[in-house]
Amino acid sequence: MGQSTRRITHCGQCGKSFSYRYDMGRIPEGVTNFPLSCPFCSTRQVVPLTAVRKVDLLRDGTKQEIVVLEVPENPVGVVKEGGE
Amino acid sequence: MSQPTPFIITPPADLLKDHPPIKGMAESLSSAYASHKLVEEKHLQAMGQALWDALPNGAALEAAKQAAGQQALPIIIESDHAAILTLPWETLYHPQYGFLGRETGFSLSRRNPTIKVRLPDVPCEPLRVLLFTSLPDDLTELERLDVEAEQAAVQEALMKQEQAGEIVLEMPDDGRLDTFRASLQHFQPHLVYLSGHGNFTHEHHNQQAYGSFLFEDAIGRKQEVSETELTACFQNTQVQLLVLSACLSAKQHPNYPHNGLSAALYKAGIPHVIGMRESVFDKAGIQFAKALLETLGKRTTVDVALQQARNAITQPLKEAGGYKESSNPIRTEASYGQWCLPQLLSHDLKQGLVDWGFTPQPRKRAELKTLLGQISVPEQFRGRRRELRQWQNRLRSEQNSLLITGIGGMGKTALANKLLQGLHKDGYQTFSFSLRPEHDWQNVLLDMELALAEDEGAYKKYELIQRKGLDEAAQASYFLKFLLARYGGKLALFFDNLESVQDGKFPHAVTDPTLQHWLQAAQQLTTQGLKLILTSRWRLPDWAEAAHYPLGKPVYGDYVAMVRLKGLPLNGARLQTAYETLGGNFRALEFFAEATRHMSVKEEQAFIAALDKAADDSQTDMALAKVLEQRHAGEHALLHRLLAYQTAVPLTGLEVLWEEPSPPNPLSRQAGEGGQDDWAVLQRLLAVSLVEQFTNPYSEETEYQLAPLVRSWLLANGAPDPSLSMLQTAAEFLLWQLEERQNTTWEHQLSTHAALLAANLTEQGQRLVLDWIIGPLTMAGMYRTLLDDWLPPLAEADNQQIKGEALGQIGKQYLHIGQYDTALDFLKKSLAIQQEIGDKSGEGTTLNNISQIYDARGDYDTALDFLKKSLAIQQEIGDKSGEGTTLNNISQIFKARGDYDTALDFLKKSLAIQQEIGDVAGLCATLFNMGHIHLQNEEVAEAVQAWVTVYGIAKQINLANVLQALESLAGNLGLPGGLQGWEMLAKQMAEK
Repeated sequence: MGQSTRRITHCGQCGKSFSYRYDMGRIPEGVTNFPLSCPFCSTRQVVPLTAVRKVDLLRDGTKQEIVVLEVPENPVGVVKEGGE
Repeated sequence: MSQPTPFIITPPADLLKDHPPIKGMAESLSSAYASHKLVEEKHLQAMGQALWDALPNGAALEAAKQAAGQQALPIIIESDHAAILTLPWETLYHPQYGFLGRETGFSLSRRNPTIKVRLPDVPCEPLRVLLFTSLPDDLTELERLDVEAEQAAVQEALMKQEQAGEIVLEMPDDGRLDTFRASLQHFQPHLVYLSGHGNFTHEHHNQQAYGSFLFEDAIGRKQEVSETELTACFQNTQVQLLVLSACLSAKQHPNYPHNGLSAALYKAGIPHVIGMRESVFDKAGIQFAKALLETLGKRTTVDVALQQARNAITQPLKEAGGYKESSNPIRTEASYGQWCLPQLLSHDLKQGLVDWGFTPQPRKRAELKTLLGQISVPEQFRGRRRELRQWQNRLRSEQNSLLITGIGGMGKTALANKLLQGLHKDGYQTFSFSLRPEHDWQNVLLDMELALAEDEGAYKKYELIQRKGLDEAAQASYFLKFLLARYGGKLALFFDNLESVQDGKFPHAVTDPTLQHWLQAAQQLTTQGLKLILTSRWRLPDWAEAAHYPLGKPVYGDYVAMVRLKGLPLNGARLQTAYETLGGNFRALEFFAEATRHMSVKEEQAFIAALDKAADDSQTDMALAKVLEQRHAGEHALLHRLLAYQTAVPLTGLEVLWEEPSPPNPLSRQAGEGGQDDWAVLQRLLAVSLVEQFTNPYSEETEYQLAPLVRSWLLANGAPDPSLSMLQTAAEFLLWQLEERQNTTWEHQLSTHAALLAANLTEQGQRLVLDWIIGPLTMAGMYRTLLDDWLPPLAEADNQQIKGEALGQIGKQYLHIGQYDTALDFLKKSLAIQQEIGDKSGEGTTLNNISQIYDARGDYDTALDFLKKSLAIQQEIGDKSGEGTTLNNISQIFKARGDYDTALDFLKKSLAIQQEIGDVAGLCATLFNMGHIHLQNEEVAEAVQAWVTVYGIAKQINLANVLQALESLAGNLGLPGGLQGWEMLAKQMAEK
């Protein structure tokens, strides 16, 4: 199982909040949104992930800047126009 | 407030030479204690007076007392001479002030000035108290200590401070040295109260003397641990005060320095050590413990607390009603003189136990529970110490079955679970069945079958038995035999709440015939080592007496422990009355405490009188009914919603049900409140034990469910059944958890499936079987189970897509077991439906499966035709996963024809797709096949590279079937060590 983060998430449709475990291992490379559905109204939506720059120290002493995706605090789902 | 300057008495080294009668007096006093002779105040006074008269600077005491003002004056006896320290200084008697070791204006302790050690820092945090008691089984009746009473006394003494968060109390439930050592290291107590039997040995021939303490060994017999070994346990701890509530624990021999338990532990650097100079009576020890800890809990210094505790046992046995059950008046009288036996050795009286400047966090009231399968058990087990050890030992030896009976609420499940944990520790594989009506115990059989399927050989044998058409009982017997062998004879089964499937009338036979067969099979196998534990209200017909344990009333200390643990609003006389009235029923106590919380004294008395008249097994219901009667409408509404779930759910699971209209509830007596804060309502229900909470180990989220007893009561007493719409919302929530990967455990899948069917959401239930259940069962090779139990209902589905897919799955299972004609029939039926409804994806899959039949028969041309048709559809609809699989299968046709280059081409195409979509299982299959092609082409390095890659992936995500295939491959290739051989190769390649 990949890294997972639990966040109180707000539905972009009905506005209700619920606890949701984001398993980042489920997101393919290059995807910057986390798809989910609301347990109250079943609306499919996405939570935009935040790109965070991090500096990694390599064994040879050099540094490397990497960008990792994180789930923001208190995320709000975005319902796609014309979606299901 | 600063402490007064201590008054230090340094007895001269030649005191005994100058005052020869003192030695004789001290020895005769000591032998009076040793032989349990009468020790009266006058004897102690004579001794104390003689000691005082022998001191040179006694006159200065008056001035020191004056200077101390209203505070107690600490008197310290300071000496480094063993002979001086052996004297009973606690009896020191001043002509004006009386006994200086007892009067409230003073405190009396000892110090050895030659011992200099670095004392531990005083931390600013709640006081951690370790109460450790040891009571070996092989003591004589006279030696048996009432450790339960002592534990009860200590718990009562500290209860208030513990609830306030000022003190944390830990009481391990066994008395082994290993447990003591581990508790010291993990819990890091500031105060250790070690209670049990002490001993003092003088070896003339070796010129040495030492103290020892009796711990329990692994099976509860006594294990004597010397002061040296005990001292070593305190390394790397921050213990500030050690109380040795054990006989002779402060005893020293006058000829040798630093001998005896107290002196040795004091020397090791524990700031304060309290020990007993002589043999102490049990009752005195208990009262001493209570008084000492009560006073220490009030943040008093150790010396002052000890002085008060000595004072509290001036007439211990008189107050406690005599010496145990002894009718010997001498024994009772001899108890006088106990007060001067506790001795304090202190490096620095100013050293506190903790710095009390922290902000205490009151303890949370709701207790966490854990789920053992579907059985709810307390996270922490308390008490039942004797029963526990007795049965633990018996189960470890010749005893293989145990039925625990008793009324609900006595702790049968908790005890059984603790015993099961013990077996698990000893290497037993355990399976637990909940027979409660809301649970499907046969799910556990499925778990057991999955476990057996991990052993391919054993499972094949079982399948053979299944095909023989034996009756259910014989099949159960064979199954358990194979499973027992699978675990090397270490298998334990636990059946909880057996009364749910027993006839209510004597002789209480099991009414479920299937379960009856399984129980009989299990019972028979106990002769071959299978361990069987059951709980029920009633004994089973013909159940052996030796394997039956009717669970009786717990000791009072266990009751106090529960009150502490749950923070119930009961103590003192009210708790005693509840204990007597409820016969020690834990569950009834919980509800009783809540029911009487707001009652007047008169109401409570009337309620107790009513309970007293009621039968034992209805007291819990009566108390529960009272608690429910006091709930308001909002709380009843939440309880009603919880009825919709047969499994624990997170808060969101309850919130989704708020939209559902709640029916009028006849059980609710107060006006509805509406708009309740769900969280607050839930907390109130948790606080009164109507709801239980768990931490889900998979999602790490807190989950809630109705306490099983409450569910039964509600359903039996007119609570409206959850509406269909409510059941549907609940089932859809469980499905949401599964589909959103919030909880994908096997247990959750089965619970969700059951909930969907119960809510008439048949189609979703069938879909769940296809999407979630079939995969793992196929991977485990449980083709028969799928064909017999899971797939037939789906083949009758109204939904044609489900029906088509199910028929295809049936065909696939027949293919697995080599019944190609039957397989082809089902696959063709499936294909027809899929073509009719235009299910292209299904059609592609089925064509692929059909090809495998022709492949197996060696008809490669027909197989290739089907595969090409399948590929065309998959490419048309963009089914990448299917395309990858089909390309892989096509390669195998070319391989079979000996066209390895073409085979490799197809495998490369398959690999590219699987990499693109992240199909790890498909990737493993393709790489595995590529390895074989390379081998055929004599490209050994490439072949090994491919298989090592497969090994790396399969090991990482634990792909059982792939690992199994690699193991067989290692055997075929002559690679030694099976999977370890692949591991070695992987390491070698990584190094290169």
